[in-house]
Amino acid sequence: MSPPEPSGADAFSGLPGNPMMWVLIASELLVFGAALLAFSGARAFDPAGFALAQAQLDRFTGLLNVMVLVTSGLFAALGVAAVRVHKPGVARLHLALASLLGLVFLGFKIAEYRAEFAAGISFESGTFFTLYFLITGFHALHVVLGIIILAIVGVFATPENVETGAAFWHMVDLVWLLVFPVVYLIR
Amino acid sequence: MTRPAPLLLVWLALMALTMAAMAIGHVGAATRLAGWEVALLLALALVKARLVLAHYLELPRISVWSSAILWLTGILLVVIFGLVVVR
Amino acid sequence: MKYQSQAIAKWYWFVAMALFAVQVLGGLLAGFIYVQPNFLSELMPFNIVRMLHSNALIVWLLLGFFGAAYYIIPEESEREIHSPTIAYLQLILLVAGTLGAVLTYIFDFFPGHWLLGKQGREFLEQPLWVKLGIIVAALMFLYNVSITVLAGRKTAITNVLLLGLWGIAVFFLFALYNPNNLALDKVYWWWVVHLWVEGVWELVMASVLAFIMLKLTGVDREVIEKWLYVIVATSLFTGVLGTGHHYYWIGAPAYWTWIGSIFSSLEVIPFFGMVVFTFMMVWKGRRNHPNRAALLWSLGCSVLAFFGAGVWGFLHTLHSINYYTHGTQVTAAHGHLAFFGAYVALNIAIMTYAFPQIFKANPYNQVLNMASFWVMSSAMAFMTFVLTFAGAVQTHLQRVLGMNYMEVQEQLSLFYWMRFGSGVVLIIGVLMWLYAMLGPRREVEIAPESVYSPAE
Repeated sequence: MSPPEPSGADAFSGLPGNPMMWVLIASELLVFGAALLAFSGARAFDPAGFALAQAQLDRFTGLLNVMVLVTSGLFAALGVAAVRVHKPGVARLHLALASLLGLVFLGFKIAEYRAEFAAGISFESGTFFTLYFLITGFHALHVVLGIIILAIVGVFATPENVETGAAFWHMVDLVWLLVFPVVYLIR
Repeated sequence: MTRPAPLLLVWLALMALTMAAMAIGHVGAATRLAGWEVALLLALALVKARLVLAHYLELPRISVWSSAILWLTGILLVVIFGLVVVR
Repeated sequence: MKYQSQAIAKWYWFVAMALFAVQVLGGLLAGFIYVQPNFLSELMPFNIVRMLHSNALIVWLLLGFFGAAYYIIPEESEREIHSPTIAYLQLILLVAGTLGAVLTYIFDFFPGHWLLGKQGREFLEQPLWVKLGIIVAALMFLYNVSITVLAGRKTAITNVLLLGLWGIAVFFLFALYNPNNLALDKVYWWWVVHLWVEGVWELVMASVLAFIMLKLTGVDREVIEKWLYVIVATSLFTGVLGTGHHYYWIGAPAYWTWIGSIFSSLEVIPFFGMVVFTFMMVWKGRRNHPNRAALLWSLGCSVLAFFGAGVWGFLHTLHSINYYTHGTQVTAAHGHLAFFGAYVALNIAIMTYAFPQIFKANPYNQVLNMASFWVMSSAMAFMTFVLTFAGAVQTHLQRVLGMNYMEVQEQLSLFYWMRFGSGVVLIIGVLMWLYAMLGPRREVEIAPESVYSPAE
């Protein structure tokens, strides 16, 4: 038996929620970072084609979705604050509102996709749209996963669980804050 | 760790910055953006990322994680800006 | 060695060592055919030699993993293996299957036969009966070790090891699926090839390294387990969708070029994590374990895997680069250093650690063993550089300038000669290591008390 290791060198100390969630968050941020880098690199090769394709996006819905997720993030943060002062009921309510806004985000996103499909745009309509659908689709999958996670931590509303779920949700929020200007706005 | 600002204020700031992005990014028009407008949009995104990390997530300012994420995001946005202006 | 049944590992490792010798001799032969193409062309054509080289590699590495599992699991679970008889039967079955495959490759007794003939799919050439035998052996193995683990103490190391071993068996099932559509065939073929070496094998690698670190450095189990989980999470996160980097040019939809590029470029992370992990543990560890050779091989394993699998993999994983380098000697360079670093060195590390324990001896022949590390590693590094240059030249001449394949091969002959030379040196290293392990035990380390009291 050796004496216990001092945990001062622990890279995860001070982080809210479960450390494994932070491994996931770091990996996700790297993936979305690499995807945005790939997107920007591909745009540098074909600025005209990208501009033409980008003009077909619904920028306004994209912007609306920024506001939806930012507001949803507020409720997730309020949920964490509530559970820390031992008000799991209030926390659940806030998490439910956060999830509801997540569903609103998905609703807007689906409407956007439907309009694009109706205009004859698909996964295979050139590099811009392949990357657009990959990045936003992958992000939307994370919104779905986030809603499920929020539901689970809402049921088992311990401070650590809620912090873990909220951390994932804020990561999803953060990614959209970066995806929106890079994919929708910059031209 | 500094005391987090009231969450409602953070939310208001995020919404205001999003409105600013709407104006700078000419969301309603098909015009092209000037270089400074692109730079400003990316800077706004970085500020918003910082707000989310520091207040929604309450990452301690001194945390390796917080600075690593912000630095990497900053570098990413600078590279993206470079790729936009290089065209 | 605390449990009798850990000795099962010894027999697996003896067979593995024999096949290791066969593998490198096959490699040397193949390397010679590269420079003297007509050598043995009637008796043992190049494609057969290459099959022996790659199949022997995979089989000995797997036997090494099985051995490692039989050695590690009793110690971690704190109980004997459920049934040593099943374990030995499994080994006999695997040896019979291996012999059957080798004889079929060389003599091709039943050409084209659905059950007995070779199947002609790269790396999965084994006749169907051998494949079925492998599956039966895998089931016996999984039953045996799972029962042992379930009945005993559960640790992160055995959990991850079992997850990896189950994954190996599950993904091998796709070897049985052989659709007529060539594109579809390749899609599932990679579920065996890629999801093994860039997926579940990494779990085995991480857990075996964690076990060795636990024993050699004396660092807390809790610290080691945290690292293990981080490494495993990142390797699955990047490796599974990283499969996309094999779907670039096989007829799969175009979006795979982006999924593959993005995820596979992050596959370097778990390998980097393993380098940081092993060095941190050695640096933090307070124990001076006398088995310095095992420590050298473990550190070498993580470093060479990082370069071979991580860096050399990244070199040609982006689809815009792979468009030019696909199937050139760049791939050969990556494959050689990656397999040597990640899995050959890993097996050598665990064997070097465990053999003295199994023989109830103090660590022996360490200087020779460590010398063999430097000889093998230098030879492999040189081979990797040579093949990388060959690949760069080949890419330029063949893919950019559009020269004819055989004309380009002519231009590469100097590189191929140097590769053959490094192969000769590598074999000298292998023989040194085998002698250090199996030869007379000289230069025995006088062990302090701590050798037989593993850390917890």
